[in-house]
Amino acid sequence: MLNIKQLTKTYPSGVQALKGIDLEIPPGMFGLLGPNGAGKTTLMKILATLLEPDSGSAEMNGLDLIADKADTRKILGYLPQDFGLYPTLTAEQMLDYFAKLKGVTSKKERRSLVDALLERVNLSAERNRRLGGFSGGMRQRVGIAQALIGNPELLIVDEPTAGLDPEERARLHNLLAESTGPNTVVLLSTHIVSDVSNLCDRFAVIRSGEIVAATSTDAALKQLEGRLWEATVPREQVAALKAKGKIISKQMAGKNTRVRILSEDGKPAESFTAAAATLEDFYFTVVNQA
Amino acid sequence: MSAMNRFIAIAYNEILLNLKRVAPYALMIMFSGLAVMGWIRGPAIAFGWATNSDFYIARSLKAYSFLFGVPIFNAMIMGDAIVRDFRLGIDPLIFTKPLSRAQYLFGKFFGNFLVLICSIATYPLTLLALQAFDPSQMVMQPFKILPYFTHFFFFVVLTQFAFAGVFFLAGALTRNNKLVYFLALSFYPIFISLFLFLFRGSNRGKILLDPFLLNSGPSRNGFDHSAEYLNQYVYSYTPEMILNRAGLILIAAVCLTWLYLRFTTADRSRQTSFAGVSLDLSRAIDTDTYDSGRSPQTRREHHEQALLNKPAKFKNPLQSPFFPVFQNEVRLNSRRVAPYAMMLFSIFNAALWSLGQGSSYYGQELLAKYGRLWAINSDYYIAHNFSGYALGIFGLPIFAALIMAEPVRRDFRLEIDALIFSKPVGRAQYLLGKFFGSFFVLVCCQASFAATLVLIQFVHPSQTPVLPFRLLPYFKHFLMIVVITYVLFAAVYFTVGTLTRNPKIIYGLAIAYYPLIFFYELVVLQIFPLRWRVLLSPLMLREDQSQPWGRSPEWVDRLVVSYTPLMFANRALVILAAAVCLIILYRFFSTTEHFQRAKPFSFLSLSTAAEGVYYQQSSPDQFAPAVISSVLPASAGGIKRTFSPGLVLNPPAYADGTDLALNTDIENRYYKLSNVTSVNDGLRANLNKLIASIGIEFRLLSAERSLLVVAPLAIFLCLLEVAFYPIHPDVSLTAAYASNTATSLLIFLIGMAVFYTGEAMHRDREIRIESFLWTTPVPNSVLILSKFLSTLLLLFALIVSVGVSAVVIQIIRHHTPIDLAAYVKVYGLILLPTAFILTSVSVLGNVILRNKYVFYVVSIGTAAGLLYLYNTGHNHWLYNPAMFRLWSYADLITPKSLRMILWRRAFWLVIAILSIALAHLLFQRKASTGIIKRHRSTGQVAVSDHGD
Repeated sequence: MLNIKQLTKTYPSGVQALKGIDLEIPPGMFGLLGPNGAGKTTLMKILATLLEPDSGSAEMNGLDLIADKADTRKILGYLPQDFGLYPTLTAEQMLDYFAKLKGVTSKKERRSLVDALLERVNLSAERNRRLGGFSGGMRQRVGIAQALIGNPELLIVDEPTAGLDPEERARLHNLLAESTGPNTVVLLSTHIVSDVSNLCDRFAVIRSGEIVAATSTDAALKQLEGRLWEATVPREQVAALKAKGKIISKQMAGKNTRVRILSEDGKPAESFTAAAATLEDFYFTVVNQA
Repeated sequence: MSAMNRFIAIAYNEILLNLKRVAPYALMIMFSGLAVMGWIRGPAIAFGWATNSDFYIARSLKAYSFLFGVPIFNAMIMGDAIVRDFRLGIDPLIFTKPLSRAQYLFGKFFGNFLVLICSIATYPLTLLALQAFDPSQMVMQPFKILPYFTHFFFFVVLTQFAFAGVFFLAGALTRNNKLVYFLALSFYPIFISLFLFLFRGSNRGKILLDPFLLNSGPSRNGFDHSAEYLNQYVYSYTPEMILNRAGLILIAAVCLTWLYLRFTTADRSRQTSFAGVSLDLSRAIDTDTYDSGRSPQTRREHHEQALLNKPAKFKNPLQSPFFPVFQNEVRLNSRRVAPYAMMLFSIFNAALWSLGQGSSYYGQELLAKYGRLWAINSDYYIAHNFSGYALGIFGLPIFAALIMAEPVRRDFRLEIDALIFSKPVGRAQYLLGKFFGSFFVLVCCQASFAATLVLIQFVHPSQTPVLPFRLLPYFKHFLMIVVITYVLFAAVYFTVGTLTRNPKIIYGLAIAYYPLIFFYELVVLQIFPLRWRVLLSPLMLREDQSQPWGRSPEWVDRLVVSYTPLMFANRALVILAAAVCLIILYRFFSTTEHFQRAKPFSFLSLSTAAEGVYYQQSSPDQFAPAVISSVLPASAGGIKRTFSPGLVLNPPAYADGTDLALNTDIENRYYKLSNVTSVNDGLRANLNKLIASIGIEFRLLSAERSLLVVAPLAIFLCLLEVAFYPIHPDVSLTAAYASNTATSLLIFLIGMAVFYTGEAMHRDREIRIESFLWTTPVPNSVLILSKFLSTLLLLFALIVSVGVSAVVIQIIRHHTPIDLAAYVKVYGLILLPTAFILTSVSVLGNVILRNKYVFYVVSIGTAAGLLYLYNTGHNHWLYNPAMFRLWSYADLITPKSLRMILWRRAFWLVIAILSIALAHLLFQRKASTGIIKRHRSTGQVAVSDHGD
């Protein structure tokens, strides 16, 4: 269990990135959703020992992640949002190097580990190719492979699917899902709601440095059950609908607009029908809260 | 808003932007430091000059404006002003405001110039403040203020104003700050060569033309006069000096006016003047139509067929694809740095070579024996100059490789190849266009050498012997000796570069030129009779080996170099060999990607067998045929998850990125990697990590492209003197070899230690791998030491290479016996500790400054300042870690001197170790465990900035 308590961080520029984050993250995949600039990467970097918080604590199974950085790094796997690779090394050399840095001293073990990792990320055929020639998806897979070295107890992946095509995203989802052990805490930060709905049982939404929701995917959808309505209406009527409920999303449909409304008082108008809630609806609801 | 207000707004914004940059503050600190250093260690105390006399203030400010890289800093600040807006993409935001061109340009110029002046004003202000201190051994006059300001304005501000105008113009028009920095760097060699050779003896000319007015005031910078005279001396600005300053203001004004007239806010690539850059390859078949649906041929085959079917008529070469390719190649090269660098290098060498004849060893012999030198425009001397140039003494083959190997590779690297090869351009047209375009550029660059030699006939020192003006011999010898020789070399580089598309092979070949050509000329050709030697030498040996050595200069001046039929045959053979190279290239050139040919197509089939899809319940029919009925329990959002036998994706759903294939059975499909033993604690574990890190770091350093040129060039230049010049042994021949090579290598070691440490220390951040490395359980000491030791290893490798090469040369030249102990002594006491010290200090510098470029600037400034001090006689071991000019071989074999040197080395080694320790302490990455004081009651964490 990863416990985060009252974590705050203000950058020298005066930007308050985290305003007292409290989270309890059980083993399994946990999603961290939030718009750009919400503080996701700051939180990830603090947990990955790369950034000092101003105050607060983060503990995992008795290990203080803030104070005991050296020990934290022994149980950590981290895939940052934006990373590079040594272009002149091959995938095999790179993974071998990181295995050495993770303390895998036995050459035989290291070799079999690197083989298994390359196999896992489907890069065995490219093992001797220089990383400089890898595509975005292949680089991302190398990134995941290095994060998995040593079966980490805490795996932090920051926006792993950003910029990937749908097929590569699917592969990465599978890879992450398959790599999560029963006792591993996987923290997945993203602004793509479907990443969370595909992979995580629990998630939190962060906005302007504060956790505005932390729940399970089922509970989140249950909250919206029976309160969500959908209709296609002329554009000029959209403004008038604001009085009847909270507009969650608007989508142009020819000359009309398809509107989804959250209404506590039943159907907002005759033309509306009940809509099945999605995680995206929940996300928009909490993010757009005043 | 008035026009003036807009101008002020722009200028103010520039000041604000510069206030947030590191460079101005770094400059201020550095210039203040230099002022203090000059005040303490300058010549004033030794010569009894008052440090606040009018003479000394002006003298210091003139030197300051010229030395310490002020023009380079000027370029850094002024050259980037406009480029920055375009680089950051702010230009459309600015130019869509009601702002005139003049307001924008002048606002930018004066805002940045003000910042520059404020930065460099720290030097005179520090000198001004230092008057408050009155050391007992220093002569000090009553407190003064005005001379500091007047001289600063006259000698520094006006000079830098002109430079600022030039750099601002160059930066704004080219929008390439590299070019501006290059301009600033090239200023020094040009200025020094001009004033050493062209204006020697003409003081009036120097004062009129010298932007720094270095020769104004008392002669020889005051060294010819007594201290009393100089302390009473009051600087008056003569008409020549005022004219000089007016000229500088005029230069700045012309630059700004020109910029105002030529500046355009349009994106460079959209400028109409660049419209001609397009390859225009499809002209020949524009009228021909192609329908892919009907034609069985490919587009290219169709066009080629269409061209063949056209009635034969005279083809204007300017209208064939050859010419656009040629033209485009010339244009592309005109925007590279290499040709200009080569031109400057050639000009500088031509001037140095012709006018520095008196400094050469044979020049000294001639002067001693005959009292005069060879005429610089005699037929023999012209041919002699061109032969040396073509031989590549000054690195011409490397430049040729840089220019000739790149053209086709560039197209593939930039992935323009597909665009070009989809046009109806023939293979021969493409290859020949590329070859001749690049070769034309190469010859133009080489011609700068010839042109300089021609011009030196007009402008030369009075004591240099010159025959009546001549032109034809220059053309004749340039064509025969340089151009034709380089047709072959160019063809070889072009062929290899195009076929391999591997820069390492090309640069390796360029470097290998030296041993290969020497081996071929000195060993292989020697087994043939003279006629064959003349025929087969690519550098064209002369049949009549008229040796000028030992002859009078008059005899040499009358010597005419003529070309025999055999020599013409040699030239014809060289051209033929070049043609053969090009034919081979034509035969084997392929437009396909190399790796595609080498490897079969690989299909990435990650877990396809278990791919699953989910779909919206509202539209199950969409996937009905593809899915199997194994429906999982309902999950989030009423989504049903099902397995399909293969990857089934919902194309319409891709658009919003919400529908993706997923393997869902997470609990059952967890693949645990095999357990491995991790050892992270203890000395042995850290040692293993250190060894692994050094291996990787060294491999990355070895892969630096610059090393391919720098290392061989360093080895070549270090060995130049021992390989080609007479050796005068003081103690022994070996000692002379070791000392000679060590002295030359010292300079390279300083540069390489600074540069490669900077590269190693910042590489991880630059390629964004730092977050990977920093989250691994590796102590900071391993990260720092691996970079330190890998750089050190590189420098050691260089030292060993030079040593081994020197021994080989000693053997070849029969300068035996070889005393290896001498090498060990010199290299072990001078070079190896220097490498260690400089690398460790560089590591600390990088950790503290945290910016590679700031570190380079500070290093260059410090090195320039220190060299200036050493050259002015203030050379002390306490601030000379490299022992530059502080030792001779005799010192290393005299017990007393040796002991002293050992103590000094030990002192600096301790400093080096302390530097590493300090770097470790200040390293940005935190790994603290016990230092953090946690106040659990308040939840506050106080973190101290310490490494592990």
